[in-house]
Amino acid sequence: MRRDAWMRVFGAALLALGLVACEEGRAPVTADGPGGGGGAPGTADAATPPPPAADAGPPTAQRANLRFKGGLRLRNDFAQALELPAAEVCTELGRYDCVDVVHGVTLGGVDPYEKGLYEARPVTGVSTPLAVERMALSACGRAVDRDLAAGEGGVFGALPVADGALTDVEAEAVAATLDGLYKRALLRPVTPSEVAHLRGLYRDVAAKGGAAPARDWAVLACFTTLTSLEMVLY
Amino acid sequence: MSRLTRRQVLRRLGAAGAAAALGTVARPRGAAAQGPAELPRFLIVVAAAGGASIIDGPLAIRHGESPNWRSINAFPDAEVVSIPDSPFRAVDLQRGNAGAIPFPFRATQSGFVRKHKDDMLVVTHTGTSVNHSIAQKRSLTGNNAWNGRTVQEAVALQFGQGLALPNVNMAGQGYLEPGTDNSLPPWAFAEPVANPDLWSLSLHGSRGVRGAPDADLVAMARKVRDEKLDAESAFAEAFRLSPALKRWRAQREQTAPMLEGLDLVTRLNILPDQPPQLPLSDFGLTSGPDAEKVRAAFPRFLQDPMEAQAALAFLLLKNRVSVTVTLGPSFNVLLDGQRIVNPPLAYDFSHQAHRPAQAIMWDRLLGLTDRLIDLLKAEPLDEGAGVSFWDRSLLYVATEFGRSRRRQEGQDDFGSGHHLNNGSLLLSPMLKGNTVLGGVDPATGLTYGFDPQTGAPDPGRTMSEPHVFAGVLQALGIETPAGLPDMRAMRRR
Repeated sequence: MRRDAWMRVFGAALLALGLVACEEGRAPVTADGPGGGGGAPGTADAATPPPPAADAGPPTAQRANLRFKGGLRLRNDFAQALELPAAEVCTELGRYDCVDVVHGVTLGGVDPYEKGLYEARPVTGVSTPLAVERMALSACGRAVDRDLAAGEGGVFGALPVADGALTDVEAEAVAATLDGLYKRALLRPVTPSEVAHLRGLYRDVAAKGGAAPARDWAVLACFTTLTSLEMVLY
Repeated sequence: MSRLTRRQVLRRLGAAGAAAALGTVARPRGAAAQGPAELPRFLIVVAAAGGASIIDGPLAIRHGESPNWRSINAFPDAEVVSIPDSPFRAVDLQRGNAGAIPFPFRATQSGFVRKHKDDMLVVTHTGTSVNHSIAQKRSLTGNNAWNGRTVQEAVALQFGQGLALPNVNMAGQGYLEPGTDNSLPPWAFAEPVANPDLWSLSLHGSRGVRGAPDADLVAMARKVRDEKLDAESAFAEAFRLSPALKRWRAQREQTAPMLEGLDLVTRLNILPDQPPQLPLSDFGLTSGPDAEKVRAAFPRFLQDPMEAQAALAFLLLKNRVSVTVTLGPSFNVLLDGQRIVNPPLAYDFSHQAHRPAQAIMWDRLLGLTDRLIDLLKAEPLDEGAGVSFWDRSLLYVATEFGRSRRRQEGQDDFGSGHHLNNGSLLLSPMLKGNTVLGGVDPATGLTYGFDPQTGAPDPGRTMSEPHVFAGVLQALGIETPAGLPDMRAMRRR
């Protein structure tokens, strides 16, 4: 193995050791990347590199400067993910736009004309998560109803539904639908674990004995995705 | 232990710990004689946006009293009403137009002053800024008198721990800005409310959302999201140190269930079921149990956002959701037919038409305040002890500054600029009522100060923002830092 390759491996090993030694099991990611660089030059040949730590999980970002997306971004993201016009994402009482009229400031927006509020609040308000949930439930309900009525296409049209229930929650079409939802909303594939959790949610929903468990589950699977931390923060 | 030392210790304990500790160890000046210790106190801030001139209200000057009445802001004698057994005046007037607005108006203050004089206190002061936003904020922080915290934040910290929304702010501009004391816990800062009539909808995640699955199913989905999907998420793991993420999780998993559990989406709902504009029942919603009462008190709540604010303010206090609420007018013009409800720029329309702007706005704010006080007086806080919500409330009419006094040759139609010198109106059974602290010089229209302990007028003295800040908090039984004055003269006991 060439020297530089050894150094990379050794650096990774040191990083792994650092991760284990870190107080909470995770090394911070710096601007230079995990561990801050590529190991210790000049010492690479002195030790046999241990195997990489198995399943160490993602590193912890030290500068975790996340922000709330805010109502406008979320509305646009929901609309794009679910193929809805932005105006149909969410209205209150069927008339008043959730972002433009009702929850704008709650969702981190400004209100220069009425309130003289020119800058968004730096932190989320107490009721912000609930307002986001209302937006997500509204948008998901519309998209699911549209797709199930069409029986094909859209985000949820491929779900195997008969008499209001999924014919087979283990069907590949269910996983494919969830994968499509995740790719549209979170821009990544769904993981097997996430599919399993959401299939479990279906079983719980169906056990409640409602008339349309497939529809309810599809709305709720969409809801969990659109209100996930990964969706609302960036 | 001195106050300063204890405060330092509390600060080191951390904000949350300090909040808890303050609730048990703080002993305000004069607190011993102020009723049941376990009952909270409430602060209502009415933001008199634009510059409410105290000499256009309780300290008005008659022509006959001033040697310079032609060149300063003074009123025809008949328009200044003396209130029996009270140091307050009231301005009752009517005009055929409000500057360039060709609508007649009538404005009265005497009814309010007669009714509430025993709870009224006027404190003179001179501010430090004639910039609206800055002066607005300083009226609430006492010009950074206590690490930059606002009076509302101090009240929330003292009495609001454990409440769903201790501090709700419906005002605007500088009155809506949070304070800068970062040692306070997040819950002490204000929750902004832009639409008081529809805001209650944001207090439930699914109620009233058409097509939403049943609440128990939503609860199951939340559990999967919070305990499985997000708990295992690489994103959440990588950014687990993020303050925004931590805050979101706490709000989502701790505060939101509290808001829903209290059924605030219903209890704070002031709307009637009125299709097609307000089809509540079509969406599974109902008016709150007190909605009819507050709609009767504030019948124009759908047209006038400030009436909706006052209605919501009452419900927030009455339902023990908040300990401090802030309301205030918009700078937008609001007309009801040919009645001027809110002039453009609120009090600041005084630039164009001083007398009408001040008269209309004082009439507007006092009218709303009167109705809010009536509701609070009728609401028992401790029925056994005969204590109403109003008995434990303090209403502070905060304003940014006064107005310039000069006018040309006794003209009635004149404009005014911003002026540091002014005074504030406060109302509370906990204040030394029916009192003017300080006074006004009829020759100049300028106010002067007083002795903070005895209340004796002192023409050689001016009070400042920290005096008002300290006086408000001390009247509410909150111990203030040693550097702030003891405003004994403002307290009833």
